Amino acid sequence: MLFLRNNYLKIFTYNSIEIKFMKIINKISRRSFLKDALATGIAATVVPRYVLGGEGNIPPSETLGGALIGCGGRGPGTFSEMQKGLNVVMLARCDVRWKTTADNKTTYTDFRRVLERKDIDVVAIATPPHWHALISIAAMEAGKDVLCEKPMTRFIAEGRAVAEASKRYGRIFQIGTFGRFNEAKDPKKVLIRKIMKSGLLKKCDVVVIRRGGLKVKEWSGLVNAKPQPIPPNLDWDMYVGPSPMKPYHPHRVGGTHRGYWDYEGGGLADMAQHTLDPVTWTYGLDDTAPVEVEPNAPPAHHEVCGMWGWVELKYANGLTLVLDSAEWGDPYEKKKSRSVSLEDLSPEDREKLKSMPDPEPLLTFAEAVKQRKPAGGNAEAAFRTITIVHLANIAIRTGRKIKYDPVKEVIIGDEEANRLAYQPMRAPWHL
Amino acid sequence: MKRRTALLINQCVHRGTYKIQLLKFMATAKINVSELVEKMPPTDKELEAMQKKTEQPADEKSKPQKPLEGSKFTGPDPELADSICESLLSDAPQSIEQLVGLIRDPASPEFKNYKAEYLAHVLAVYTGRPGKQNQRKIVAKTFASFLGNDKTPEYVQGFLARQLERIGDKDVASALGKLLLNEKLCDYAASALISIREGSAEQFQPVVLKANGRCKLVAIQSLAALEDVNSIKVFQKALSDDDRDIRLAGAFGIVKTADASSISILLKAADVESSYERSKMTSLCIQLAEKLNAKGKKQEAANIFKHLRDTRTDPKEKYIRDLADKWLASTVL
Repeated sequence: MLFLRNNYLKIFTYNSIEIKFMKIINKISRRSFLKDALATGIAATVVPRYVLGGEGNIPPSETLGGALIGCGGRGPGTFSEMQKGLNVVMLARCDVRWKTTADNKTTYTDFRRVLERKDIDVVAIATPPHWHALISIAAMEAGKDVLCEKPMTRFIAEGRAVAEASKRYGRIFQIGTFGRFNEAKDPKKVLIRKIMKSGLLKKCDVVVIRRGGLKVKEWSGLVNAKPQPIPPNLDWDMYVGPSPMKPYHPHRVGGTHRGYWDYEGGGLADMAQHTLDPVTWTYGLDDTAPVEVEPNAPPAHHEVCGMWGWVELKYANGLTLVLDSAEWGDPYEKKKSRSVSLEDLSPEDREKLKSMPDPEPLLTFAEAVKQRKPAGGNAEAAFRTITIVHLANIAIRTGRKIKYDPVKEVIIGDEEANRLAYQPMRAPWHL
Repeated sequence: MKRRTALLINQCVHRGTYKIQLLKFMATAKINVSELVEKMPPTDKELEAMQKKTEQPADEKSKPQKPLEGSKFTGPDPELADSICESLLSDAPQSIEQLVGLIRDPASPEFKNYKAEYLAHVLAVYTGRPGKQNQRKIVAKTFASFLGNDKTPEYVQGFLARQLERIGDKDVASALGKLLLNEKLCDYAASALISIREGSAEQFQPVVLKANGRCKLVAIQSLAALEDVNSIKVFQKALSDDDRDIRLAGAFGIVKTADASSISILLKAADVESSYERSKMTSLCIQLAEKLNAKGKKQEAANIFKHLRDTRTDPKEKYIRDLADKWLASTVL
């Protein structure tokens, strides 16, 4: 049986079970999306996926209950991304700015209450990044799959904890950046990845330089900011969460939070997971991290993310990765960009490479949820990419070259720098 | 490119002039901390105003101004910052005490600008470098001398505790411990002590007995983070506390210390009705089982997994049963 109403409600019969679900067909505005999604979510009967569960695979027609945690900025876009290829009904929205209006039925200020709901299967997280790891972990502990906005985390230890949780509970995690999916469809990039992963390259002198687009000025914090009264609708304690408690200032919330170490890490943290996600896939860096990181930056402020010039990151295999802000100081000129090609292999090795299989296709979030296999931007891959960003920011914050052990995941011989990789959290939050 | 070149020229002109002035000052003057602080770079807004003044041709002065760009904090030239730090250290600890004395709470009417606080941070980071242990100890000890002191504003104490989170060692643990019964400062102090580790647990142990509310929670969770085996009884007691966060902190402590003797009370605490606490506690039980297994205590780990397999019967907890089944099937006891 098929029934269409208002273009978005369908009722199917599947295996003798009547399933009602919503599919948003029309292109929608953010406001109408939230309004319609909630209204329909309440009206529709969502059959939880465990009813049909089978051996972990869910039927393509099944409706999933969804929640959005962090509803400003990228929130609606992140939720829409989670709906691609899935029938997700929004059942709950959560935002710390709704202290005076949340009804704890469809709108919440405390994500923990959202995660308690049994009818929610998938969670989109678009809070400021200092919350990403903790909410992702809590969601996966509660059996939910997660699509989390970038950047994945605020410091290195968080990423490892998210990756462990995803593995432990067999939950799907996809980071909200998708550059690698295009790379995986580009034959030239596939060839580069094959060469890099083949083990046939005798000497790697690849230099990848990413210049500009890191919004350093745009996402710089304010110095000299005087505390202001907390708006009555804002749950400031919940906003600050695991970060150190500071007096409220409007520049610390609502997008400009990016300019503070306590919540994100400037334009570098905000943009570089986008920039680097394709690079880490193409050059086969998803299971490792840089071993040496050198910054060119003035001494950093303790709270406010400020200007920096460039950061050079070297991998154990010889690959050099450079992030040049193009917004401060002299441009990076130590090395020139250099990729890798078949010319770098001997004729015999080229033949060997031909016989090697192409990389496995990357699964979208929807495919991963249905097949219960890791998504293309899974937690481990996202963790390795964001580790580059955090190492670069640690080098900027300490103003010196640092050395990193990609296996032990610690900064070597520099206790002060390592403390930035493993930051304590404000109680009751912890990894 | 043209815009970038112009930007670089501007930076060079302003920063170069400023650097020469400051180096002259440092070569000739005896250390005067107040003056040194004021030689810190201008704020972003001041810098923008200066740039506009020099860039603008005379005939364009009447044209309307473009809106100011967002904040862009820029510290001093790195070499210059190093020489400023060396100057301060040459007269330590008096110079550092003077510097701390210049820091003001931004909420205070006396607050002028960020510069003293920033310079104190730059100094901390400078001495955080490998090989600068002696200088680091001087700075950390001097910072610590301001803690727990009624004369030092709480804002300043909080700032100093955050610097000690970066550069502190066991020698400053007792000074940080003085803040653990202060609701406003205990979080900062706890973070610093957790980062320091050595000598930190002793600071929290007495606090657990005296503190209530937030300070008690912070103390128990910090002892957990420090994996303090001497606090196992504290963790066990916390499991039956009225406060959910304290119960979870107690469970965290049992996991971090991998205490096999607490298995049964942890499992009991984890069998709460369906809630955030249940999934968190369940996760902590699994983590304890993993830790015990890694230590060779397979039977204890198996007991935990069997319990979870038998009690997580809700259809929504199938992933927990699956996880437990998988472990039990793959492990030879």
